[in-house]
Amino acid sequence: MSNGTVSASAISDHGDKLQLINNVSSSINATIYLKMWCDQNQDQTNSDKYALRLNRLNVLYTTLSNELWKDWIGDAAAVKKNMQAATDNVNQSVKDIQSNVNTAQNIVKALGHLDQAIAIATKLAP
Amino acid sequence: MRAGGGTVVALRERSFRVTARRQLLRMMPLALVMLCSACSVPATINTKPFDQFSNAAQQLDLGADQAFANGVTFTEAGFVEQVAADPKFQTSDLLVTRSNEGFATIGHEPTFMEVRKGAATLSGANKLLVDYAGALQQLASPGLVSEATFDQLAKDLDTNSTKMISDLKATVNAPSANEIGLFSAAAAEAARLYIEHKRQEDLVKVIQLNQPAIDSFSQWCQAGVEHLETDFYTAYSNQMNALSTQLGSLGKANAKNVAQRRQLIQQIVQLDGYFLDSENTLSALDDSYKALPKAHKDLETTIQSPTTALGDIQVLYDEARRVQTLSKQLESNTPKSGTTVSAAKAT
Repeated sequence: MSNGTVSASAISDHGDKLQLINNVSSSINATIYLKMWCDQNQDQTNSDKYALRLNRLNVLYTTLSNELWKDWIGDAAAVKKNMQAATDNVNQSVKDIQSNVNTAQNIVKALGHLDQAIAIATKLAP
Repeated sequence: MRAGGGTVVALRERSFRVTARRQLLRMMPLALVMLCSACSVPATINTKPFDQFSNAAQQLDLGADQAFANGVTFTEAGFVEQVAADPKFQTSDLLVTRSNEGFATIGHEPTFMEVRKGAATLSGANKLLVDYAGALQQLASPGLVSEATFDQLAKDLDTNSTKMISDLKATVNAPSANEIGLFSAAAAEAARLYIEHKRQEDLVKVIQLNQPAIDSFSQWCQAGVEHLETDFYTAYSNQMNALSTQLGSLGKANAKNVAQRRQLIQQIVQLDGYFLDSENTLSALDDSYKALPKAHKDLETTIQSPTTALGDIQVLYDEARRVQTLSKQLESNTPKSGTTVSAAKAT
């Protein structure tokens, strides 16, 4: 049974980066709330300010989110390699068991052939 | 010719008898040892948890595909609303061009395109989980060490041994047909139990060996789902902003704008509902991936004590089913009116 796996440390921990984009996303939501409030109260000046801030936050979010997706997709190779190795381990065990069953069947077949040899030998015995 | 009170032929016959008895005496303990060593393991494996694990992996694969497809559609709609209100946005940025790394947009790649790539990547990884669960199911299946195969083996052994002993009848004290039959049945059962024991030992070993791979697979999938949840939230916020801007442009409620306001408010309510349902779906998907490592460990428990209740496999199965049900509901509940929402539906 082999273990051709990639170590877990080779797969990035996305926890901190996820937290960062979570915070930016929450800021976007909060900015939109303030902008909505301005829109409802016909406060165009502040609504425009929040719209500008929103654009900046969206650009930042897109940059961070895309980078994180790229990291995550990059880690897929290691994850897939580990899963393939895991499946190979199981398939090897299936083959081993099938081979054991075949061995038992072959032993019984060999006994059948041995019978023919003994029959000949007993005939040759003085 | 006589030697020591017997002929050479008589001595040879006696020697054959002794050898034959010794052979039988040697084989009997071997069969007994195999039988005893195998007696400590359950005669067969409880295959239900393996079937359930495999089914859950398939459900998870389908559910994740649906949830991510919804994610692509929704983040696409969010992107449209975001750039529509951005004066700096250039549509030329969206032109897809061939590069060394494949096809990509000229400008900063929109998030929904990354989500689309993420969806394809996750789908590929989920297929590997399905393959793995299927391989475990095969290793645990009754067909691999079937009783029918060993019943046939006992019959063949009985036939071959009977023939062989009858050939030796002239020279040895042959056992009776009943004794040969008993020995053949015992030897075949011992071989079956020995292989069954080996199979159960191998299953425990591979499950333990593969646990780290399942753990990191689960963590990686959770990271992807949690990221999609955040992208969903951002896309939702941007879609709400677009609807709110439209609503604001109508001014305070009056008799003239009430119909238009009603339509926009309806879209806002539908968008809220759709977003909350989507969050539920993604949360169930996240819970499914969280349950995966414990469910995998449960498979080891089921080999050692087949009657133990296996809650974590059930949790995985239930969560995976829930993802599928919620994803289907989400598809049918997609809001039907309004610019934002119809953009989401169209893709």
